[in-house]
Amino acid sequence: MATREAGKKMIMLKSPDGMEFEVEEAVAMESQTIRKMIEDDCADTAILIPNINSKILSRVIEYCNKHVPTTGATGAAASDTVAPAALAEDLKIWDAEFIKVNRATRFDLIQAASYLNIKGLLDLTSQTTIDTISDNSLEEIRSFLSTKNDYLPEEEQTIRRENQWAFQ
Amino acid sequence: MISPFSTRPYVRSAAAEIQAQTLRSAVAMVNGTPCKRGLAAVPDELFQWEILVRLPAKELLRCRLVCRSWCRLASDAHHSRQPSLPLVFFRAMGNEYTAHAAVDALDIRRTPAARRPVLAYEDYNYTRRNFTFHASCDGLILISFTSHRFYLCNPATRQWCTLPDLTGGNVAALYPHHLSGEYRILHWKRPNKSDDVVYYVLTVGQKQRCIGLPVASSSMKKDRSCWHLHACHHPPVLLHDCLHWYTVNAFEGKIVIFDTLAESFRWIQSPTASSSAHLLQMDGTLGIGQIDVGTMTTKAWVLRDYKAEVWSSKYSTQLPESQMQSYQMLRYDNYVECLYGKVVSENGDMLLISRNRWSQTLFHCDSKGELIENFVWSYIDPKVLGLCFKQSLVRHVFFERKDGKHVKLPRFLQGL
Repeated sequence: MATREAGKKMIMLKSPDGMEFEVEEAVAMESQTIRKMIEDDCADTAILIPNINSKILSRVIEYCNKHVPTTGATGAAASDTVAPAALAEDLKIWDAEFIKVNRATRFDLIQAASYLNIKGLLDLTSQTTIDTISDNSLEEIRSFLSTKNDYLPEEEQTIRRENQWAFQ
Repeated sequence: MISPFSTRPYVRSAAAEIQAQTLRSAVAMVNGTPCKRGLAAVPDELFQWEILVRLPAKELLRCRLVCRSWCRLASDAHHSRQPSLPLVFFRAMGNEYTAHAAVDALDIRRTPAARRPVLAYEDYNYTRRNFTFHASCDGLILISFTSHRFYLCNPATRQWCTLPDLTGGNVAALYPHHLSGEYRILHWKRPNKSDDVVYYVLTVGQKQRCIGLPVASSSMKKDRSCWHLHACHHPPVLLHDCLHWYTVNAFEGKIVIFDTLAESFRWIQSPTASSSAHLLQMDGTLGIGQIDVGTMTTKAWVLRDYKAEVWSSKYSTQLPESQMQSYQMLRYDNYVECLYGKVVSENGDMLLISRNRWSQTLFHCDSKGELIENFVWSYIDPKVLGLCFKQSLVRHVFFERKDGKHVKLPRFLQGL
């Protein structure tokens, strides 16, 4: 993997709680929101990320670091058909480990991925939540979301009747 | 607004939409509002855009029972937020007595692409194993079996009805009638096996009307082959209340247009006359995609000026032949029996299928000709239908049986 070479542009990302993260421009540009800022020349040397705390931002940067294309613009490894598959497998395992976080952190990550517009991270975090919803009973979903059933029994019956097949 | 054919840009626009909301909630956090854990940790809009919109219909309906606010989130404008996904038909091979058949919407915005089941059934009829997928519109699907039984169904709500009026007819289009809010089916018949074509408009849930062949000028009637419009071969594109089909005869390509309000036909010239070309919606207007497997190139045009009929080239790209070859021998290998493809999304993504004696491969390429993903199957015969499906949980009155009887689901919905 290419390490930091001379001439690689660095970008400073600042979280609202005052932490600063120096990252390669290519890594920061995994975020479409930041990419747009850089391309539109709205970014100086430091970019303030208004609503993502340092703990979440560091995790997001960790994700981008892992997912930034290692070959860069040259595409030297693109012709090698075996490596990308192995690389993809490796990334999958890494992703699975990465997402083993508590619910609050995961929700924060969804929010961060959405704001920064990082498609891969958004897919990963929201898919994990979807799996949680799909695999659990209604009662479990409610406790997962810290919410209560506020339906009257008749109302619940009506909804069940309307789409009977979904509850079978 | 989200265009019905968008794929990846949809994700971006969705994210852009919520950015404003995310920012607002961020301000609330900064101003000292403590961030509650649980549902409140993620704004409702974010949940709706990023989580609920990705749930399969069954799970989504189940989620309506979580609590009232979730019922609202899982119902409001759900349909308009659904992506329009290309449909692929899969049929299992290798068994003489029964074949498993399925139609899936392929979510190619994600890598790996997710398969979302739309229809699934066991096909027992070996000698006449046939099933025609005619049209897909607003989550509704029009299909027929060899028995000439036509069905309209919404797989997401499991509602369905038969359409006996269509027996013996050829479906040209299924479309929403803008003024009345009705769903209509345009179909044609050839009375007494003559060459004359007679069109009918069937409003779903009502009687059909014969409209004959209403054309702008009588000379158009002479060109008979133009009027054999099949939605399953040349899926129409609905734009400005008009349906558009690509037709090609002799050396000429035409776009046949049916005005759904005035109920009359006309046509305009097409920039290509290739038999592999097809219509789709692109850049908010009419687009043509054309994959030439002889030269391994893809071209796309868009109708830049709809009124003045000015076409311009959208892109032209080389397919990743060598990469595709490394997955399956193409062109020079005698065993490749078939290679074809279609442009399936607004941003020019393509799905290609190559078939040889042993395996079938489905390739997903982007508009720059980059190979995004490939799927190899043995004993499964995939077919790119050239249609898109946009899931909808809207319930329609025309599906409700007048006698109120509960009837068994038809077999194509049972396998889901």
